[in-house]
Amino acid sequence: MKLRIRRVFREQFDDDHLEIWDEMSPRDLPAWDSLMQVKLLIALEEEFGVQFTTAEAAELRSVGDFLCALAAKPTLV
Amino acid sequence: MFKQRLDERGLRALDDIADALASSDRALADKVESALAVENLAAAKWLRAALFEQLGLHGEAAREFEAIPRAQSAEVDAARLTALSRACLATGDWKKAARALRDSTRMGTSYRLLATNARLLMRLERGYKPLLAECAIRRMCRLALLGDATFDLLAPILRVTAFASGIDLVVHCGSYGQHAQEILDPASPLQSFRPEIVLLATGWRSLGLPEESRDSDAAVTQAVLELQALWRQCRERFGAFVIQHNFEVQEATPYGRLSAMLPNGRARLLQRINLGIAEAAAIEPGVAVLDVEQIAGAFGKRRWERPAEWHTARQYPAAVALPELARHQVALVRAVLGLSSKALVLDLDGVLWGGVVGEDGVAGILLGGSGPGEAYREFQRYVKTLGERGVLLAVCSKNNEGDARAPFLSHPERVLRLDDFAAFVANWEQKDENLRRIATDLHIGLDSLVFLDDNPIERDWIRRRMPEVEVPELPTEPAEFLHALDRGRYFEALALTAEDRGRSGSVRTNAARDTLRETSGTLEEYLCGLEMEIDLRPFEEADLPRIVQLIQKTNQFNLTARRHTVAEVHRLADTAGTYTQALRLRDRFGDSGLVGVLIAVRLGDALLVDTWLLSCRVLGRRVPEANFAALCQYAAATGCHLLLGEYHPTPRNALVAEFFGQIGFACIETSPTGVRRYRREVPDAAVFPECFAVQDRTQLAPASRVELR
Repeated sequence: MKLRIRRVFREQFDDDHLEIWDEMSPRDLPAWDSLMQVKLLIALEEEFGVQFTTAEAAELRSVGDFLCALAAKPTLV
Repeated sequence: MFKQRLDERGLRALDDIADALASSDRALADKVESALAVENLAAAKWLRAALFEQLGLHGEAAREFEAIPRAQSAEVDAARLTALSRACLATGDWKKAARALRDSTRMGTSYRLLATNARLLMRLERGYKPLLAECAIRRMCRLALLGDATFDLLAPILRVTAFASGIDLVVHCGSYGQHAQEILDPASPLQSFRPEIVLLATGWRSLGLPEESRDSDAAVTQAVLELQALWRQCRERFGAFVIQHNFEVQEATPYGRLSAMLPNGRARLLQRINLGIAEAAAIEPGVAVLDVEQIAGAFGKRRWERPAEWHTARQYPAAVALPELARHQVALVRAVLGLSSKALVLDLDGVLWGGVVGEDGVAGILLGGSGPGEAYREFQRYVKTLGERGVLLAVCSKNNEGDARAPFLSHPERVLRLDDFAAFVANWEQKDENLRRIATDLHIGLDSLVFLDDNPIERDWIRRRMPEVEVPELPTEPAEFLHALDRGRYFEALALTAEDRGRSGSVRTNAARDTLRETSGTLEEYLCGLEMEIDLRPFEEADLPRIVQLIQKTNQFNLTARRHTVAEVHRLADTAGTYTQALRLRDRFGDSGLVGVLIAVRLGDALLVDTWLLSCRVLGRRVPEANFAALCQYAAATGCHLLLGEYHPTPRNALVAEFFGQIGFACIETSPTGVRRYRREVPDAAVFPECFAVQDRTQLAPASRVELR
């Protein structure tokens, strides 16, 4: 799953060599602004066939958060 | 997995395998890659290409992505072209990258794919500046996106969609909900951006309509008037064309069906406001409405909007709907810029009927009746209607000419007749040669053609050989042809003029004129035999749509190729001393309608020709001499002594490069960009060629000040 998340991040940040880690957050990447947050959410939803709730969208703040939230979703494909 | 038909999810799984292999064990990845070399399955090729990419061998990846056979689904094929483009970008093969990116964007429909393509477009632009000339980019355009949503997701999708249509779009995104302030505030960034097109993407929320209004008439009037005021500001401040979104009638309402049934219900009001906008825009020059209500309905309103995206990001419509919206926006932008397609070129067997007429005979082909035959008949009806509204129709088929013509002459269920076609080419030559011939015969560019063929090999051939031609994917199901063609919105137009409605007729009478030319002796005899009547008038309000259409579309006989918008024509015509001339031509074979436009602006005691163009239908008939005679007479009558002219070279107007010299002007300057300036004295007595009967009303209007609204 982390590989797929990494691919989404690489796509969205337009960086083919981007590495990600659990604690990685907007503090580590200047390009991770609120617009990027929206783009990441939409791309992750599409990649994993899930939908985030409005509340989740506000709370997910790091790669680890994304991982946990995705792992908790029942409809993973 | 390898045996299954590839779909998008399958592709991504393969990408993941390649990623995992390459990042964990490089030696193993190398081994897998060479083991796959002998496999011929699409999935194996994809995996190998993805491995190459992961291993940094982009040239090999590009070769492998290119070798993957065409897929059944357009979406997978689009994904392949995107991957190919990415690999070509990495190796610096900009041209191939641009072409793959364009084809992928034309085919793709998913938000994710187009968002990826938008990023690739940025890489392409960073790496390769002379994009304009090389990638069939026909026009640069500055467009401002204003409204009450955020446009950060839409703008890149819009740009890449425009790129696929040959438009280099420079987009300015307005701030959320600030559209009115930005238009009105002289210090806003919009003012320095100087948009050519303002796209007002206002949503239903901005109207703030309650579920039930107290005074519905007032609410409707107010909504329309407020928008109308903004349109006028856009025209006055920027001279910009305005594209106005109309309003989606949202699906969820506590009033249920009553919302549309009650006279004051919200849905009813939105419908009335949409009608009001359409009526207001129809009489407002330089404004076109994008029918978002219809687009949202066709897409599916439940998917069109996602409340969570609105609440968290002010995103409307939903991200998944953006490719669809952008496609319609770009189709309208093309129409505004005069870049809409002009002709539909059709294959025959398998497109206009089922079966092969050369083998099955007229009686054996599938057309009419029920089932698939009915689908072909319905498609013929759609095509015929396109022809009636001014799209030129042409046939390009690999057939014996007699076989190809027979169904149009004698099939009892035929809808299309031979005289619906402006060009008919049936032979066994390559289709690119035939398309070139058709474009030449119709006096239009290859970039004005849409080519429809059920054979994927022919489609691929044309796409490779003639990237300017639009080649829609055609499904195997004939009942879906109509939607496959419709979806591209190739022939979007701002208005329908009388010339549009009579176009196929005028192309036919051109053929009759050609016959006369062959039987006449000298050119002069031929021209006199045409019994031509010319009618010259200053610009009139009712003619403006046609005048602007000619200004936007005319390529060959167009001396300055200035693409004035409606607003600019108004400004010019309303300036004191401007001479405007709209030329109509008819002859014994038919009425060509309004085919010539001339604008000259006053500079002291001189007249400078700002615009001089003629439709290609009337070339070779001494019409320019009539334009010129009227201009000279006007100049002499108003005390002008000098005529000034300019020639601005474009890729398409070499025809008139020497024109001013031929009519007695002297070249006084050639700029580094190739613009040539000319002057000549006003002749004492200018006369019209004898082959014309002339009615000239341009002399009557003092200083040509026409009452334009």
